[in-house]
Amino acid sequence: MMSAARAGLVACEECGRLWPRGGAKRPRCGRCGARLHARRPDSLARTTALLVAAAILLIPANVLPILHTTLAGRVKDDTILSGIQGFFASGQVAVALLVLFASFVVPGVKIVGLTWMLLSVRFRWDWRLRDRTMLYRLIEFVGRWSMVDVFMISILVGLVRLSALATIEVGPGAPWFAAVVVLTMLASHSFDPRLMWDVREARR
Amino acid sequence: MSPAAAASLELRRLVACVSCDLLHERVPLPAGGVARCGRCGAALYDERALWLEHALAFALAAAVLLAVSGVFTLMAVDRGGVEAQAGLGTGPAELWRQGHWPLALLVLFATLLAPGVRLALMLYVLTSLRRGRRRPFLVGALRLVDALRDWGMPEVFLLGACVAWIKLGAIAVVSLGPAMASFGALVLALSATNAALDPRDAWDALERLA
Repeated sequence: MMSAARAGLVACEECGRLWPRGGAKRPRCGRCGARLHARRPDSLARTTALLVAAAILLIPANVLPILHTTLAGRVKDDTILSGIQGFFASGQVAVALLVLFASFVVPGVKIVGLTWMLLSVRFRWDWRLRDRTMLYRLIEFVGRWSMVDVFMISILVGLVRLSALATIEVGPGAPWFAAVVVLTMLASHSFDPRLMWDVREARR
Repeated sequence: MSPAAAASLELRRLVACVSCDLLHERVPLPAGGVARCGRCGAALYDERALWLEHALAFALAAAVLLAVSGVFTLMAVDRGGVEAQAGLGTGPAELWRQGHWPLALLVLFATLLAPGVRLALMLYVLTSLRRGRRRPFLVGALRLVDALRDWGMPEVFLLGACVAWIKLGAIAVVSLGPAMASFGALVLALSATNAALDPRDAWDALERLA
């Protein structure tokens, strides 16, 4: 039982077909034409860069308001957090928890989780490897749900404009938040979980 | 058989785990069975009869549902007897009007463009496979189908729409339109399509076609 890399084979990222590790400069898969690489190119560097960018953008995403509401003469600026507080205050606890989860917990878990995985490769930890792999799959799966707030805002402003009940403007924080979600999605795409198992293989 | 061809045949019988790179030999599975990596538990391949027909059927259903969702009303606000109706395009249009064009494009892409283009390409590939026709750009189409998979988020949009409905319901009478139901059905149909379509099976079938 050995990894494909140790056997001198490369699996195509797109179609799964195995090929011998050749001498060609930049080999392509004979079946689907995709570039062949043993591991995702520059995985550690790209993932780190994307995560750092996402972590930095978390600041404007949370500090700047995402909604600017004018209703019956009252003007209100809402950040993600104050929006959640509003839901709690009006008794809509389930919704409040949902938005809290999607806008804070999920991005947080993604950034912390991917950072942990990056460190585990960098410092060659061989500890709870299977759990880390499960975490990676969870992160890949759940990442998109952070977009809930963005979609909610889009429907809200559209509907409010039509109904002319109030004026709701999208605040400057919203695109930064969307950027954080997209960057974390790209980060988990660029990370190669096989790198974590390579550490274990190297020890054998 | 040339040594190169024989080697190639041997490699076709092997599968590498996408999560941990462990090599496995392909073994025949019982119908409906799933082979999992011996080391990390990730799914490797499966044995599903009629996967092509199932994927095609669900993809067709999803395409119709997406078209319906795009045309009909998602939600409507009652303004003293007059109904203001919002559809899938209403949100992006307003975002654009407010100058947030990156957000507008992102929402449009994730709710309409990515699922739509992916479904269209999927139908193209699946019908070609079913009929045994070697149409142009099949390889490119299948690659795009795989690439777009994670960028279509209709289920997240649906949840966001429900939250907006609840939020707006506090200050107005908001009713749900037919597009909400069809969009919900779309999410289910898309799930079923993705469950039926294992990209590796599709690539194997495409290779046999060539």
